[in-house]
Amino acid sequence: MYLIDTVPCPVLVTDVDGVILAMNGHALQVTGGSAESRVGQPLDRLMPLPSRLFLQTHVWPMLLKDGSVREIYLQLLDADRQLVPALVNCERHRDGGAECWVWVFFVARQRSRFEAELLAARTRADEATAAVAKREHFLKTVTDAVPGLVGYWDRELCCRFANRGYLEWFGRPHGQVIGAELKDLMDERTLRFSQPYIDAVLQGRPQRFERSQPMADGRQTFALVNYMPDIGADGGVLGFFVLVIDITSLKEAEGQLKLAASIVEHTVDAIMVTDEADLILSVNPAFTAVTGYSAAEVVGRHASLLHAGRRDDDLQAERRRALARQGHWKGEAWKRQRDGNVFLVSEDVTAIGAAPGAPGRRVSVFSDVTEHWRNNERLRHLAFHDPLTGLPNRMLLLERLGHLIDQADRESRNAAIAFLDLDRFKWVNDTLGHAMGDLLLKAVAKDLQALVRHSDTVARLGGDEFVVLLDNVAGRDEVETVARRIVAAVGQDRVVDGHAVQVGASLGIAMFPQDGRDREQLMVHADRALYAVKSAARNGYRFFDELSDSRMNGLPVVGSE
Amino acid sequence: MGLICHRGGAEVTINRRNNTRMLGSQGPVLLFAHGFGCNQKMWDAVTPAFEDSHRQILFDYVGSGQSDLAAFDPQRYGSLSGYAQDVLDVCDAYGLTSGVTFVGHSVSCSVGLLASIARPELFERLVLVGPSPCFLNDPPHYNGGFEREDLEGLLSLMDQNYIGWAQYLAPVVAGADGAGRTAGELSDSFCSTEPGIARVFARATVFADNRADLAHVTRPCLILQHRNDALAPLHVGEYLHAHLRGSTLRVLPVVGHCSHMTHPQLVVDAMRPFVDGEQRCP
Repeated sequence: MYLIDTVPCPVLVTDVDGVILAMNGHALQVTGGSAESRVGQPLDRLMPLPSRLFLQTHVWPMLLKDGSVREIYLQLLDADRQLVPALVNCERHRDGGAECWVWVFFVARQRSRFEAELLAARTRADEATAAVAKREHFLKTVTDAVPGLVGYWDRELCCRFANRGYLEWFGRPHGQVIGAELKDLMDERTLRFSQPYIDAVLQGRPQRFERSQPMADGRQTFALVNYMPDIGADGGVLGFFVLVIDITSLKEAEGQLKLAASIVEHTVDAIMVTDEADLILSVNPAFTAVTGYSAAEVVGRHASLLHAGRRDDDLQAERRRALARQGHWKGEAWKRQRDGNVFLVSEDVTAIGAAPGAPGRRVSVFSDVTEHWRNNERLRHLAFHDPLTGLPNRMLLLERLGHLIDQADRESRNAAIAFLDLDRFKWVNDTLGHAMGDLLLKAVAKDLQALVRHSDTVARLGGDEFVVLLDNVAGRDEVETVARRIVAAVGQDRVVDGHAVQVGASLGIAMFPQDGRDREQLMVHADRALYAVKSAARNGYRFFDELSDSRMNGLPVVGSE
Repeated sequence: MGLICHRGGAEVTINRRNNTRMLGSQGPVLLFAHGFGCNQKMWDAVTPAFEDSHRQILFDYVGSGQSDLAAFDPQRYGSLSGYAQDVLDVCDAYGLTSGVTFVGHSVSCSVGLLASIARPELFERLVLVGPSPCFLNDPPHYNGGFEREDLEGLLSLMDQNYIGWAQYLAPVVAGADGAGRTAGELSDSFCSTEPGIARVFARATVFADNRADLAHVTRPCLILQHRNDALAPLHVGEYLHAHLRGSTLRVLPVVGHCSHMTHPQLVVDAMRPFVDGEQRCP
């Protein structure tokens, strides 16, 4: 006790738990109170809370570990609870057997104030440094996220900044790139290629160019390179920023697009692109060749301007349905060219699915198949017609007869079939020759066609055999009138190729539905009636129901003679 | 520092980075994590007791003790999860996959809890010496013991103590701009050689609030509470005990915050049955 009172500054002694064992007069002068009131109390009580915390978190661990601390800054509370800054030294002592801790305080208001100012300055400097670091971190994060190469080169072409992509391209770590010279980092070929642009940007002119550049893995890439000069306050160029973007895939896509465009330009098929409302967006040259419309005339107009105007509502509806359901339609349609000519196209329409946010498109590819269609029609005509007279042949006759029966049956109307045979045709053929016979047949065919309605049919089965189908006849009288006219017309005197020729006509007639309800029956009965005419008198007509094996058998042939 | 992620090479890197040390060669692993502003030496009075029975691993957090200061990343170490990653890194460096008993002091207790949430299979149990999940008061729910201004005062006090170092002040005095970060031979005061780093650590720990994490802890914990601790009062220990499922609370008759240094035998005696697996969660 006596000893610590001789020390000219506040001194305290505590045990290992920080309980005050003794205090000197200088200490009591600072803290106030009496020795009796302080001894036995924790050292903590003399300090404000932050200092108590610091004592616990830092000072005691140090003391316990090392046995002493030097020049620890703490605060004490004076008698008026005002803060008293103090520097503390503390050391472990062994007082007999018990361990104690001697605390020596240097009250240092002046020094603390000076240090506080320094600290504030230092804090400001730290904050500035931290702000710079934060900005750098931000910049690095942003530039590393850029899918390209970002860098900065100074006037001497030393690298001052490189993002991750740039580092990877150089294939070197940060430390080997920053501060290194361009000529040591870039391959010679790329450098040689870029040199003129580098020279230009160092003159203060921004540069933008494409170059092919090799990658670390040997891949050849296309890059879009931007050089931006960094101009200082005095107007001089300090260096330049680099932004390199890999455009390899763009280049490839561009190539694909060019190819596709070239195909569209040169294909012989007409191509028309419309929107979903069928407004024309673009057409190719073949479209102009096929339709006669130039692109300028049709773009923006409705695709229906090509419609032929034929009744194709069903077709259009089916087309719409197919496009909506399968996104595709293929078929034939009549269209109208610019000059009004109607032509047939084979068309292939594909709906290009609308991506979210993008409008849908329809691509129609078509070609003129009119000629092809005509050829087909011709072949079809040949298959169903008699080449000599152009009349329907047996096949078409059978088809028409079947059709006629169906319709007459459905609508409860009468029809008639007449088998016709020329009398004396064999004589003409044998004496005047086949050519003459053919001419005669053609003349008769023409006459027959002139005698019947458009809806009726005149067919030639071969040789001098003809068949006439009469649709929707009022009754037997009407048929009889026609039959009589035929007999008269065929039997007229005629001059064929300078020769006077006269033939006769024999007709056997069967009525629908009285004489038969199907093709075979009607034909057999008409033939039987014809046979009856022939075997009797020729040159006349007879109804089947007049035959002997029918009810009216035995009646005479009605002739023109 | 990306290399740290790779196994194999990692051991060397992590061991140097965290200044790791292993005592003993057999037995279950005790992993000691130091607290505020100090280093692994604070466990020196405890480790001899387990020399024969355990392998004991000690380390310094990056930024403390003899760790590699160049590895300090203010981003990572700006929150306790960065320190928890140090704990996991050290375990990985030793190839540990399970059975680790974590022993932490003060803020390291929260670090250990976070590590055990991240990798529960790695840890067998945790010993928490003087823990506090949050120093700040949050009335009326929670009484951490301190107001924000108290803790700001503590941080300021730390700063003022660090400024005793000439190197810290030199740049200001010389009018230079940057924080010339040097790892020279400096005083070992407060176990950190870099005031800037110590400040990041202090801020991350002093204002941490890990109360919400407690519910996610699945490993048994032994809470060693000091009867009279200015930093982590008794009711904070009781709060932890109530919120850590299956925890055990032992109140040591100790004044202060550092029983493992002032009363190591008490700590050893309390730890022994728990680390030997005799005292499991009920």
